[in-house]
Order: sequence, then structure tokens, then C-alpha cells
Amino acid sequence: MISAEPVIQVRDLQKTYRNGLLKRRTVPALQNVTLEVPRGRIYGLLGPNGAGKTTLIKILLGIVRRTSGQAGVLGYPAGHIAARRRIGYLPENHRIPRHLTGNTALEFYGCLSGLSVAEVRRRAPALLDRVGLLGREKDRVSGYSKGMQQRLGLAQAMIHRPDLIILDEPTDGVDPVGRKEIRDVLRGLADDGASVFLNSHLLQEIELICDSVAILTRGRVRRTGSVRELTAAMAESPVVFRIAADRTAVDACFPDVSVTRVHETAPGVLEVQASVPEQSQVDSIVDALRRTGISLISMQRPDLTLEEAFLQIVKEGDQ
Amino acid sequence: MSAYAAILKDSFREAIASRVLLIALIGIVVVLLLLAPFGLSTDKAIELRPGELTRPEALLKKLTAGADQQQTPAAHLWSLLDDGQQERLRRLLTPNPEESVSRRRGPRGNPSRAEILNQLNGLLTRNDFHDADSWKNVPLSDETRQLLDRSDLTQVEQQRRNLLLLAAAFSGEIDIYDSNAISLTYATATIIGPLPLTPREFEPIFERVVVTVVGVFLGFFGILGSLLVTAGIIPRTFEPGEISLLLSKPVRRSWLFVTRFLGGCIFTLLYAMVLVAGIWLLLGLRMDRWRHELLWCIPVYVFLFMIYYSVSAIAGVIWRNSIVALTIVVLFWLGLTVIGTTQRVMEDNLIRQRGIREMTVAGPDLLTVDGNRNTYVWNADENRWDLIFEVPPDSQLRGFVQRFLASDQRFLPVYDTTADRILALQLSASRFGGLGAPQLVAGSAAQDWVRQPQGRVPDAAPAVLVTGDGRVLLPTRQAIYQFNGQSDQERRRSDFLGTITGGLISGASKAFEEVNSKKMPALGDDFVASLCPVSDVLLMYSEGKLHRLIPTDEGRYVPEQSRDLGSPDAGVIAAADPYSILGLADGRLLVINTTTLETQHEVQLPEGVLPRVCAAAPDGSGLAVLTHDETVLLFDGSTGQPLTWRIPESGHCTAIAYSPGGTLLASDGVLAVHEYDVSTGTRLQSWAERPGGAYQFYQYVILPLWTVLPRPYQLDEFVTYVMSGEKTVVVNEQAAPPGLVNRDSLQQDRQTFQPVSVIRNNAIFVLVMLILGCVYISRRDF
Repeated sequence: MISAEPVIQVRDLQKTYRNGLLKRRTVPALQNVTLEVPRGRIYGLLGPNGAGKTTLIKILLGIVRRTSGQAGVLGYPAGHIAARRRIGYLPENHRIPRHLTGNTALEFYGCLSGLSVAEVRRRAPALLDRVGLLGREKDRVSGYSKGMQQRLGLAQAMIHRPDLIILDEPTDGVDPVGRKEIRDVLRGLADDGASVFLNSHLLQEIELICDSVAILTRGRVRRTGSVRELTAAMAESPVVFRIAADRTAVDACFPDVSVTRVHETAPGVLEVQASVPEQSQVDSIVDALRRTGISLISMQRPDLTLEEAFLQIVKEGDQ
Repeated sequence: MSAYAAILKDSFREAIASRVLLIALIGIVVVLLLLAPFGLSTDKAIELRPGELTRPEALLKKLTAGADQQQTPAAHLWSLLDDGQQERLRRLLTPNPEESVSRRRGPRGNPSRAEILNQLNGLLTRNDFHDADSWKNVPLSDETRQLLDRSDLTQVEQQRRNLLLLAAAFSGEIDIYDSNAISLTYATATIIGPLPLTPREFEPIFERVVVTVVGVFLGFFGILGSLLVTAGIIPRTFEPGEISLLLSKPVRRSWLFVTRFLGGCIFTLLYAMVLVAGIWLLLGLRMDRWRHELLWCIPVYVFLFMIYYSVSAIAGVIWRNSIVALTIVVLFWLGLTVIGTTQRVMEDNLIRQRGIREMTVAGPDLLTVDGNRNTYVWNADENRWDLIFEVPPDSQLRGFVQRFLASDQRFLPVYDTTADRILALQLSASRFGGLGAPQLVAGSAAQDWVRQPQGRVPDAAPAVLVTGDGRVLLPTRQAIYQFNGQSDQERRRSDFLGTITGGLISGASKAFEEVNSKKMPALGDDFVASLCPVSDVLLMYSEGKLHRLIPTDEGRYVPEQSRDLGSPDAGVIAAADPYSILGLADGRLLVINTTTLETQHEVQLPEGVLPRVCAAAPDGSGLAVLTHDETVLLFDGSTGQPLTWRIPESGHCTAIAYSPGGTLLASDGVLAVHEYDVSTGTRLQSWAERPGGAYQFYQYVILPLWTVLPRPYQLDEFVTYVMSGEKTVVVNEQAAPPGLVNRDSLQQDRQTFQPVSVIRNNAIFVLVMLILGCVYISRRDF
């Protein structure tokens, strides 16, 4: 039975690292992070390096202890052994012991996840096929390329068919074809009802597969929502006016406004891009155009790319 | 648990994948294959071996006396020797006096003994060794007679026959207690043999070789190799890329750490299994010695490895670097070695050698004896023990004689009330190896405790006994001698003869007179004797038999009663009326009715604990036993029942004695003696010298560290224990040449081996390390 309860619930989560043996230095990694990841979705966690993404994941898995706040996974407190039984995790820069082969690695991690050896052996071929490692399963991990290790890591995270898969930079080191395959796998998992929590700084990846996104900078969640919501027109974005006039009209009709671009798209037709965050400013420009008899052909505040939105949010966070 | 089983299995995989293990296993197999052709063969002995020549001086004397005899074995054998051989043997009886005794080698390599052996073994090969007339009065064994009846003897059989004839002719001087001889073979060839050792003598050497081989290959190379290979397992596990993956699984951190730790032990387990099982198979298949106890070495050495690996594991978790982990464990190893060696050296020199080992009350003075057999008197003005009664430097036993041969000899000065002097036996080395006849020495406070030689005792005596009327008795195997005093002229003569002959027989002076009836109880080498202070009844214990000898009106001692106790050879005894106390090598303490020799009460000491000293109050009011684990057990002298009260020093007491007034004296193991009234359980007074800086360093630095830290070397002792089956270890036996130390004597310093305590102490350390590791990783962010 699928519950509507979020798979991850984080509220006012804080983590402060203390470094140094004699002179203790505190480093805040997470500050009042509040987050909910709905079930059955692919949820992306975006943020620049050092934003606290991996710390958040490790707290969810119990690898790192929280300083304060609450965190729950699959209805259990974060790190609870029952929750971990239902989580598959692919860490960033993971290291699978070099003496293992593809098969024995799956057997090892499958058994750690509570499966029997027989069950692992039964599931392994299909899984290896799914991640593109079939035929290399008897090779030592020490002979695997970075991309193959990443695929094997993904396979071990899926071997016990978890309800929640947490992936930390899953396409790191994987070639474009491989990335596409991994994206397909993740999409398939979501279609099968699993929830995927994806941590990446590759915006394109997130944009391509995530249903929802949270942007984390400097230990704080700055935005959450669907990709569409994040990239939709924001008040701060410039407005493009298409008018039937020549360049002399610009100064008259756009007083006290920061005009960022003027482009004559056709004879007698100008495209003026202006930064007008306030609606009253837009109204003033429209009034001025009408007063001077200039025709307003169109007016539009265009959507941002995820990258633009991300950079803008990061910039805000830095300020 | 399948998750943790998977971790263990992974460790197993890792061990298998390790090339070091593979190389080590191949190396072991190669070594075992090289060792495999070695074997032992057992044949009938056809040569006289050094240990069988029990009385070389007496034999030499009898043999040289053969020159003046007719139709005796000695005469016949003497006639078989050529002039040169006869001259060499004669010269052994008249040595160069300037030759230093101390420079001579031990009994196995003693040149005088070796010369006798060579001459005799040379005679054994001769066809004309046997002369019927010469041997007609010699009782012969069945085997000898059978060989004499045959005319088709091979050379080997003839040599065997001659050996038996020789032993029969000189039964008092030669003791062939094992008719087999051992040879070392490689494949089908005999490479060494027959060895100059009896199988009984060979067995401890064999055990030591096996223990050494196992110890070196497993205890050193095995542990070192295993540490090198496994030092990286835990640091690798806790590397960021791996630990995150592992901790995301439904496993507990503590169990992950513990399981990884146990997994690392698998490597050592594999190594130990292959090596020990290989040696076990070789011993069984090639030498017919199926020592199943050897298989205990496998868990023992895995356990030893665990001690070091626990330190490596903690370092690995903290620093996540295998080089650092390995460095720390090597430093730990060195630290343990330094502390263990320091402890042993200091204990040997401060406690065993300098600590109080014996006590006696001499009139108003309290005398103590340390482990080096130095005698001290209490100086009340300076609150210290002053050295007295010193052995002249030229009379001191040196080297191995003091350390090994004399280590089973008790040195207890006895106070002669009548003459107000102390008497003791001064041991000396024989030119033929081993101990020579002891010198009776005396000293008194009036003469500033200067040691005065009184005469050489005719034979080895375990004690000096003084009767109530002041007679000095010296019980020996053959007779009971009474010391009558002697003139200076006689003493000089005695000393001269003693010097030139090694002193055992010809050195006997006329100062000693036999005071026993012709029928003496049969006594073995390790017999003990004690005199009842009131009745002067003499109790002697030897080879499982307790003998009661009573004095006649003329002062001669006659056997009056014997009792078979069915016990081992060795014992310690203290006689008193109405009860005496006897401690036996099987751990039994018997309170004996001195009159009837019936057992009044019996106490069984814990397994592996043996009695060292028995003491009886002169008035018979109390009996006490000091064991080798330094525990004191007290008995009521009037009822023979044990007392529940224990002196505070029990557990670390090194000497006990009763004062003439019946109070108990006990040493605390260092430099203090305490006097107790046992009836009230009160301490009456103490004599305590303040220990020096070295002792305080030992007491407050070395001992606490040694107590807290594990003692991996004890596991070597464990292997010795499982191999030999001995519950107690004679302290200096391991350092002695094989077969030299009399391991049967209860006078030897012994350490009771307590496998449970060894395992417990080391296990506690491992456990603490693991708990610390678990606590650390459970609190750490990864």
C-alpha cells in the first residue's frame, strides 16, 4: 500500500562540525534545513560544493549525527536500522573493495542489506543487465573503469529493491551514453514506485529527470519546488517590450529604468529588454508608450533556465 | 546475522586474495616438505650415556682399584685397558690443583666425565668384555642372561650385552633407567644417532624444539606477517568511500567494527592452521608422536594475534591509515617486550635473588637468606639486613652450577642452641660435573658470624638436623651421619682429599660417624628428612614412602615404621609432635600423626599449585605450608585441622618459619618479616628494611604497567604447558641446558601456570580495546 506520507521529512535540521583537537573550531554545515520529499518522486538536491548536500544525506542515513532538529526517513528517525533496510545508497566517490568481483560485490552488499546469498544470485543477472555490467560480473572491481564502478555502485543500491534510493553524484565519471542509461534506470525505478533522492551539482541531470528540486546553499534551503516552478518567470527577471518605434523613443518611454538590451528586430520594430521588478514601473512604461502614441506589439517576462535560476538563487544566498 | 556473516566472509575473501597469504602458505608448505623426511628411530641402547653415569668418582675409584683385584668386573675391565688409558683414568683422580673448577663445563660436556664415558664405551665394543669368572658374583638381569646364553650375537647385540654387564657390575654408580636409544633420521638415513640421551631426557628437548619451531614460525613471523597484511583492513574499511557505503546498510557500527576485527583474525587462523596442522601431521606420521595438544597452538596464537591486532584496529579506526596503525602496533610490541623483560629481570634480581627466601631464629637474632643464598642478620640500630656468614669467594658456586644444578638445594641455616651457632651446608661443584659433597659450615654471633668449615659431608644431604641434646645429624641416601667435630689436622686432610677427588667419598672426614642401623630405608635422590624437636624422631620421605626412624638409647637411628603413600617422588616435610606435615608433588598436604604415620587430615591444593616449604612449631602447636604461589596454609598443631585464618602476607609470602616460642614468622616477599601469634591472629612485631629506589621503580612503575598490559609471552608458556602437560614451570629450566635442572624437586622456584588467568588477563585487554573502538566509532561522524 502506498502511503502519502513523505519518504523524507526534515525540520529545522542543524549540523555543526567541530574541528581541531585543542583549539576547537566550529563549522556550520546545515542551518535550519526543512524539507519534505514526497513518495514515488525523483527529488533533486542542488547546491554548490560545500553547500551541505552530502551532510544532509549522511544525516538521513545515520552516518553523521545531527546537532539539532528533526529528520525522518520512511517514517523512522533518520539512521534507524529499519529505515536503512529499505534504503539504497550510492555515495559520492564510493570505494568497493578491490578484491571483489561484480558478482561477489553484489553478494556482499546484498547480504549486508538483509538478502540471502541465493536471493542475491537470483537477482544479480537482471540487475547487472539493467546497469550494463552483464558480461563483466566475474571481473575484479580493481579492473573496472570509473563508470563501471559507478554502475556497480548503482546496482548494489538497487539489489534489495529499496523504497528509497539516495544517490550522491551518480553520474560522476560516467560518459554521456552512460548518463542517459542511468537516467533511464532512475526513471524506471520511479515508475516502479520507488522514491529517488538525487544529489548532484550537474544541473542538466537534475533538470532532465527530477520532479522536484531543493536548492541548498551555505547550509540553508533556498528554494524548493518543481523544476518548472523554479524556472518559471520570477519578478526579478527582465521584461521584453516589443514596440513599433525607433531608438529615439526608448529614452522617452523608459525613464529611470535599467534597459539591458535594445534590438531592432525589423524595420521600425524594437525589442527592448528592461529590468523592471516593480509592477508600477511596468505600468508607467505602458502609460508612457500610450502617451507618445507608440504601439506596444507585445510584452513578456520570459522563463529562466534552471542554471539561470540556480545561479540567481546562489547569488542571493551569497548576499 | 547474515550481514555480519557476509563481513566475515568478505574478510576471508580478502585473506584469500592476499598474495602475502599465498606466499606465506607456499613457504610453509615448502618448509614442511623439507622437514617431512626427518624422523626418529628407537633402538636398544648400546652405549653408556652421560646421564646414566650417576657417580663417576665412585666408579673411577672402583675401576682403578681393579688393578689390585682378581676376578672382579673392575679387575677384568682394568686389564682390558692399555697403559695409556689406565694412566689417563688415574690422572683423573689426581688432577692439577691449579685448574679452576669454575672454568670447567657442565656435566654433559665435562671433560673428566667424558673421558670416563669414552673409555667405557670403547670397552663395550670388545669381544672379550665378558669374563664369566669376573661376573660370577654379579646379579644379572634376564635380558643379560639371555644374551650371554647366545653364541650368535651380532656386534650390536654384543655391545648391548656388554653395556648390561657393565651396569650390573657397577649398579651403584651406573643407572640405566631407559634401555632405549633415539636416533635422528632423514628419509632412510640415520644422520645423528644414537643420541647421547635417554628417551626420557630427549622428550623435554623434543618439546622445546617443537615449541621453538612453532613459536618462531607462528609467534614471530606469523604474527608479524599477519599484522602486515591485516593492518590495512580496518583503515580501508573506515575510508570515506567504503564506510559510507557500509554504514548505509542495516548493520550496527559496533558489530561492523568487531566483525571486521574478527575477520582480520581469519588470516592468522589460516596461517596457524596450515603450519600447526602440518607440524602435527609430521610429528604423528614421521615420528609417531600424535600430540593432539599441539592443535591448541592454533587458537592460542590467533588469540596472541588478537592482542596486537586490537591495538592496530583502534589505531586504524582513529587515523584511518595502515602505516600509522602498523607503526603503533610495532611500538606497542616493543613496549610490551621492554616492560615484560624489565619485569622479569627485576623480579629475578630483586625478588627471587634478593628477596627473603628462608628465615631462622638464632638466639636473639633473626637471620634471613636471600635467593642467592646470602645470609643476613637484622640490624635493629640501622633498620636493615646486614650481610653475614659470607661464602668465601673461592668456595662459591659459579655459573651454571649455582644457577641450575644447585637450584633444587635448600639452604637453611640451622641454629644449634647448645653451641650457640648456626650450621649450614655449603655446596660445591664436582670436577666430574654436578654437585660435589657439601661442606658443613658453622658461624656464631660471638665470632662475628664468620663462616667456619667443619668438614666435608660423606654424601649429599638435604638438611642439617640438630637434636634436642645438640647432636648434629646429616641424613644421606646411604646413611645418617652425626657430626662429631674434628681436629685441624683432620680437616686439612679432609679438604685435601676432597679437592683431589671431587670430594664425594674420599673427602669424607672422620668427623662424621654413621648413626644408623645397618638396615636403612631405600631412599631416592630427592628424599627429604625432618627431625621432631622434642622426641628427636626422624621422618624421611622418598619415592612415595614415609619412614619413621627412632633414636635408640645409644643414639643410633633405626627404622621403626614405614608407610606407602602411593605418591610421586618429591615432597617437603616438617616433623613435630604430635603431628607432622608433608607436602607432596601431587598437590596433597598431609597432616601425619608422627607416632602412627596415619593421615590425620588431608588438603588438596588447587591444580598446578605445589608446596615449597613445610614448617612446624618446635612445641608442636602449629604447622604451616608455603606454596609456590606464595600462599600460606596453617594447621592447628594439636588437632591437625586446618585453620581458616590466613596471615595478611598469604598470596605474596616467600618464606615462613616458626620461632622457638611457636610464633609464626612470615616474609612479605621483599625485605620485611612479620611475627604472628597464630592463636590470636595478631601481628606481634615486624622487621622491615625500606626498599631501595630500584624496588620502588619496580613496585610503582613496572609492576602496575605489567599488571595492566597484556603479557603475550605467557602464551608461549601456554604452548609449553599444553605440550608438556606440566601445570607448573620450573623458573630457570628453560634457560638451562637440556636435562640439567631437576624439574622434580619441590625446592625449585616454580611458577604455577594458570591458563585461565592468562587467557582472562589477555582477553580483558582485547575486550577493553574492542569496547574503546566501538565507543569511538559509535560517536564519530564519517
